[in-house]
Amino acid sequence: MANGIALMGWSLPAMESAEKLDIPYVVVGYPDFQNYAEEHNIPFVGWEFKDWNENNTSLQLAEKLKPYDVDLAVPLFEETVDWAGALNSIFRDDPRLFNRSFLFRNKAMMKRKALLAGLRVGLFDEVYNTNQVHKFMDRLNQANLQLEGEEDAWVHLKPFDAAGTVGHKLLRSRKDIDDKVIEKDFPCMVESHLPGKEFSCEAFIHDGKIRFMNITEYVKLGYSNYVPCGPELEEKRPKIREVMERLVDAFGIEYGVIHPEWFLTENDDLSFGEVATRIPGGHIFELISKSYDFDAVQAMILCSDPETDEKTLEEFFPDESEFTQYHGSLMVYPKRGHITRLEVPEELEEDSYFEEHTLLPPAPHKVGDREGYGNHYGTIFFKGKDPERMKSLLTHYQGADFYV
Amino acid sequence: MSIPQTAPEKIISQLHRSLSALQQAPGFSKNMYMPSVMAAVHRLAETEQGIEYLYEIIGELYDADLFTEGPWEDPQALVPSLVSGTLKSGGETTNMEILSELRMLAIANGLIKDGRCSSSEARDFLHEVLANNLDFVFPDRSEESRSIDPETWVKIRSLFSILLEHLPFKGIKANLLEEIQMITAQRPIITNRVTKILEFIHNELELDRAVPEEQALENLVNARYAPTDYLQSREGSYNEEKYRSFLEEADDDTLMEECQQMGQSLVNTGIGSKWHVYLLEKVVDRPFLVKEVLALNKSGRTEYDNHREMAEGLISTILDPALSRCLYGAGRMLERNLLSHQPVKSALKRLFKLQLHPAVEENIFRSTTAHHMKNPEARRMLIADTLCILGQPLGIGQGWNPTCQSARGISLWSQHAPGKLLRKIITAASENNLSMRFEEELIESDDLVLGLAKDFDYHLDIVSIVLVPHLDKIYNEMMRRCSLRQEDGHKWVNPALYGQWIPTGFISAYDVTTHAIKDYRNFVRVFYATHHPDYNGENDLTYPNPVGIFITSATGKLLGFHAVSILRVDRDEDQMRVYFLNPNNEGRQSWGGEITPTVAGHGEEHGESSLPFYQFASRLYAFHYHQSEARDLEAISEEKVTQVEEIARNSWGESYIWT
Repeated sequence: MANGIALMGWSLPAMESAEKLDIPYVVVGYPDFQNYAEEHNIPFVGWEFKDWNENNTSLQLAEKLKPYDVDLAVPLFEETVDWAGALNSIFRDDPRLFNRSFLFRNKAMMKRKALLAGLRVGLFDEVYNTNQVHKFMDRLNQANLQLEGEEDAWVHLKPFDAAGTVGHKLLRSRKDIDDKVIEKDFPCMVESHLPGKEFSCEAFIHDGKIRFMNITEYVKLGYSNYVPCGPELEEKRPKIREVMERLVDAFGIEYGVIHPEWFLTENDDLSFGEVATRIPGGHIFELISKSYDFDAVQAMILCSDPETDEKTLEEFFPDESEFTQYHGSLMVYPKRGHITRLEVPEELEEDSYFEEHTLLPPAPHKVGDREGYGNHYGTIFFKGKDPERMKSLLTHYQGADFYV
Repeated sequence: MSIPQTAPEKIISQLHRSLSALQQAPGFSKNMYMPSVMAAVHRLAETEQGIEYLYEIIGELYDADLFTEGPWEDPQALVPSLVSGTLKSGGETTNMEILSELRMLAIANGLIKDGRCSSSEARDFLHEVLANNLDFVFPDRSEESRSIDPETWVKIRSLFSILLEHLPFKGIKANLLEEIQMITAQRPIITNRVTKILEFIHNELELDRAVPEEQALENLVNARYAPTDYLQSREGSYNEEKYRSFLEEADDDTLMEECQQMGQSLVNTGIGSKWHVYLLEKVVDRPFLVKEVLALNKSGRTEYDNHREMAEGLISTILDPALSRCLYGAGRMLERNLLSHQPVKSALKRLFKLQLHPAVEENIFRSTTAHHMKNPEARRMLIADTLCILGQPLGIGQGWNPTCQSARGISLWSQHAPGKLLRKIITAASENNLSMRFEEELIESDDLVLGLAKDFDYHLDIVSIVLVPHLDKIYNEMMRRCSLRQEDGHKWVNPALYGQWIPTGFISAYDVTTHAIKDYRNFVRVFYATHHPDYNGENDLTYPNPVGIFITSATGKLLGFHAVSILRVDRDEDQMRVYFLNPNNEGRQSWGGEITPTVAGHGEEHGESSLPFYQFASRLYAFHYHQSEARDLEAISEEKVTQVEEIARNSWGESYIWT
C-alpha cells in the first residue's frame, strides 16, 4: 500500500471513500477550498491547476506535498490529470508517466495514438484558424463524393483538453462554421462525425490488466444513463473487452481508471471516441457502486496504487455479470428562461423504479452559500430490474419540465 | 400540489436514508447529503401532514446536525422579527426556516434539549413570531393578492397551524399585551395588525380577570368586541339585529350610558368597532350623544355645535363597520377645529360630490379597507381616511413601500397646511395626476414613469393610496434633476416638495461626490446649536424638520438611508430627547446597538417616537436649519461631540471613509 495519497481535486465523495480506506491522504485543490478544509481538519494543499508556468511547477507542488509523505497522486478531475501524471513521474522516477498523462489532455494526440494502435477512429486534424476548418470540411465532402446541392459532411470541433462535451461544437454546414466558430476556439481539433450508438466504459486497471470493466448505457448524452448496460450492448462485451485491452496496451496504461467513449455501428463496428482518466461525470461511479455493490472511488484508488496486492484486488471486485439491479440517473436542468417553482410529477414518485431525487426548489432570495451542490438543478435516481423500462423512464422524464 | 397517497413513503424513506448517511458522514462531507435531505423536506413541507411528520422527527433532523454551519445554527442567535421575511423568500430558504421553527417548537415542548436555548426562551421566541405574523394565522381576503407564490403560502399557513396546535400559550399573553399597548400608543390609522391580534385573543385564549395583565388584555379585546358593560354581559352569539332592537327600546339614560362607555373605549385605545357604528346609526341626529360616542373634548364639542350640519354629514358618510377604524380620527379632526378653517371646510364639501378618476377608484378597491367592505364605495372610503389623516397626522404609515418621503409629507401638510393637502387629494383623486413646481419648472406626475415603489403595497390608508404614487414619482424626478450636483439633492428637493416650512440651511455629513463622511464634528455642533434647547436659546422647533438618518441593523451595520421628521426636542425627566415621526409603521424599529426608539413611557404623544438627543444625533446624516441660529458652535463641549462621534464611528461609520 502507498504511504499516502494525494487526491488531485476537491471531491467530497472521494475524500469520504479515502477516509474509509484508512490510507493517509492529502487533498490538492483550488485555494478557494482552504477555509473549508481548515474548518474540517482536512489535510489540504491549495493549488492553481490552470496555471502551469515557472512559478507553478510540479516540482514545487511535490515540494509542498513532502510534509504529507505521499507517494501516489490520483487524478479526480480533467484538469488535474497532467499534474497527477507529473507527480507520479517524480514519485516513481519514471518520466514517461508524465508524457502518458498528456495523451489524455490532448485529444488530437490521443486520436493519433489510437490510430497507430489500429483502433477505428474518424478522420481528424488539428486546426489553427477558421480557414483550416473549411478546408477540413472540403476534404471530407470530397471523400464523400459530394455532388452539387448535397448536404455537407458533419464536423465536430473540440478543444484539446476539455472534459466531456465542454466546448464541443457540431458543424453541419459551411454556414455553421462561419456562425459558430470563434477565434478563441483555436487551436483545437476537428473530426468527422462518427455514426452509431454512443456508450462509455469504465475500466479499472492494475498492472496493465483490466480488473473490472463496466459498460454504461447512454440514454441521452449529458442527461441520462444507466449501469450496467442493457442486453444489446452486453452481448458485445467480449468485443468491447478486446478493443479496451488494445487501448490499454497502446496507451501503455498500467494503473488507474480509464473512461473511454465508443460508438457501436449497426454492423457491429466499434469506433473510438475519446478517453479520460478521472472520475466520470453523470453520476456513473455512484451507479456502478450501487449496481455492483463496491465503492468505485476506492476501486480507483486501489487500482492507481502499484503497491496494492493481488489478493486485495481479487477480493475487492465482484464478477462483472453479478449485479443487483439496474441503476439509472437523470440530471435535471431548468428548461425555461424564467423559473419560479419546482413541480415534481406525482406519477414519478409513485413509480416503483423511482429511488430518490435531489431536486431543490429554486431560491429567488438566496441565503448563505451552497457549496458543493453541483451545477445542474438536481438528479433523479431510478433502480429496477428491467433495462427496457429503465430506458423508457429516463427518456420520458428527460422531456418533463420540473421547473416551471 | 398535494402529496400522492403512496408517495410519502418513498419520500420518507429517502429522508431517513439520507439522514442516516448524513449522520454517519465525517463533518467535511455532510454537505453532500444535504440535497437529498432537503429535497425530501421540500416535498413533505408541501402539506400540513408533511410538516406534522417533520415535527415528529425533528429530533432526528436536529441530531443529524442539519442546522450546523448555516445561519440557523444557533437557536439563541435567531431573531423573531426576521422569521416572516425569511419564510416568504421561498425555495430552500423557506424550507430551512420551517425546520428552524419546528426545532424551536420541540425545544419549547421539551422534546429537544439544547444547551444554548431553554424551553422558556424557545416559547418566548415562538410567541413573538406568532405575534409578529398574525397575517399568517388569520389571513384575510387581501392576502390573496399578496406577492408570495402560492406554494410557499401553503407551506407557511401549514406551519402556523401546527405551531398553534402544539404551542403552549402560557406566557403569550404578556407578549401580546405589550404588543397591543405599544401599537395603540402610536394610534396608527391602519389598525389591521392590532385588530388581528385582538381577533386571535378573542378566538383562541381564555382570559382570567383576576390576573391584572389578563384583565388589561380583556379590556383591549372588549374595545373591539364588546365596548360597553351591556355588550359584555351578552352571550357569544349576540348580533347586530339584537343590539339594534335593544337600542330601539332603550331610554335616554341607557343610551347616554351606552354612548359614554363607547366613547371612553374609543378614546382610551384608538380602536373603533362595529358596535360604535350601530350605535351612531341610531343617535347620529342627536349631537349630545354623538359627542359622547366620539369622546370629544371641549373644543371638539364646540366645533360640532358650530358646524353641526357638516359634522353630521361627515359622520353619516363614514358609518360602515369596515370604516369603524376611522371614527377615532374623525373625532380628533373635530377637536383640531379644522371645520372652522375655511379651506378645509370648502374642500371637504367638494369631496362629497367629487367624481373619482376610474384608475383611482381601481386603486382604492385594492385596499384592505375595500376588501373588508360589503359594498365598497371609493368616495366614502376616501372621505373617511381624509378625516383620519386630518385627525391623526402622526398615524400615517408607508406600508411596505419605500416611500417614507411621501408619508412624512402628507403628515406635515396635515399638521400645517391641511387646505393644501386637501387640494392635492382632490386633484389626484379626480385627475389621477399631480403637479408641483421645482426650480421654476412644472413637474407633472402624469409625464413620469418611475417612482421608488416598484410593486406598490396597497395595505395603506386611502389618502396614501391616492397621493403617494404621484408624490413618489415627483420626488424621484426632483432627485433625478439634482443627481449631478455636488451636494445631497435633498437640500433643494425638501423645500420644493414639502413647502416653505423647511428652513433653507442644509448640512450633510455625507459627501455625495467622495462617498465619505466629512467634517463630522462640525456637523454635530451645528445640530446641537440649532436643535438643542440648551444651546439654541430654549427655542422650540416651529415646524417638523425632515431629516435623513442612517438605518443600521440590530448589530449596528449600515443598512441604508431613511427619512424621518423631527417634531420637537424636549426634556423628559433629566434627559433631553428628540421626538420624531418615523413613517415606517413601526416607531419602535431598532436602530442598532443600544439605540432603540420608544413610543411610550418617555413623554411621547400618540404617534411620536423618541430617543435621547445624543443617540438621535449619532444616527443623523442630514438636516435643515436656520443659518442665523447656527451661531455659537464652540459652546458645545468636546466631550458631547466625541460621545456622538464615537457611537457613529462604531456603527454605520465603519462603512465609510472619514475625512
